[in-house]
Amino acid sequence: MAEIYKKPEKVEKMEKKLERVSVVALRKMIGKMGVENLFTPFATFPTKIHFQTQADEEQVVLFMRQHLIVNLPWVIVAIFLFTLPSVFSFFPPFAMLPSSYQFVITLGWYTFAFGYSLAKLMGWFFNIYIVTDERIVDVDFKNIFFRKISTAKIDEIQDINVQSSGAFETFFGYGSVFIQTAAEVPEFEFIAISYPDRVGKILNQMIDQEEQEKIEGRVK
Amino acid sequence: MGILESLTFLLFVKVLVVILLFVYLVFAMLMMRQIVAMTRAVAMQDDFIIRIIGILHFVMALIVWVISLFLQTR
Repeated sequence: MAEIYKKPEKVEKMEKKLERVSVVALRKMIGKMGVENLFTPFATFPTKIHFQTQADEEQVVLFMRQHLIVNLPWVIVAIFLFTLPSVFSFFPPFAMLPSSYQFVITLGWYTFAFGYSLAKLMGWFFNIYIVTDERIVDVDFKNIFFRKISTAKIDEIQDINVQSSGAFETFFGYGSVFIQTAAEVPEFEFIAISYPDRVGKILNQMIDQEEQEKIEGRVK
Repeated sequence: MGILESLTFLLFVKVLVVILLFVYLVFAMLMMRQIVAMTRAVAMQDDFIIRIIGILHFVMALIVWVISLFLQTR
């Protein structure tokens, strides 16, 4: 009976540890940017971020969220909502109610204000843009009832537009990157991200690298 | 008559509060489930923190709803 060759475990582990040539080149080209923590809006080569459809050897190159400053409007609204119960007692129908009712309504209001803040935080936190050495991933989280995850291969990218407009965007240094693709999703929008020019440049470099790999026959 | 009027008014307020808080409880549960689904889709370092916040929000909504059930209508 013919024996099937099985790679020794050690060799398999070693192979997994060894980065592909393309990733090493990207690492050299891009370098380390941003910080790696739970609420980071921008990080290059994060080690502790993985997505569901990520392949074993696939390496996350860029991890992006919208710039932190985009949270300012809802933070102001949340502060307003949290301070509102202090004026409830001046509102006659509320003042008429027994204290137990006032307590429950106030507590309910704080829960609502907390929920509003959490929903808005989730909207920012789970709206993620990922660039791997293989593809781009756009995780859209518009509200708690809608989420969409779109992907396109790097070699399917046709056009990249970087846009930064307005005083706010210029002052805080963020902008948007629009990516036209030949994939099922024709356009990917990386909205209000930090370093949009750098991201545009990195994507262009990755496209060049992908083309080079095709020529050299190193396509995965 | 005055007592009856006040009783009806409080009952109306209680029913309204209980219904609204129940709807909110369902919303909080959906939010909690969505957080779990999203943290499964994209796993991050220390993402249990956001899951805990979601659970806390649901528990808070549940507590407020339960308290509202025991409101006196007279």
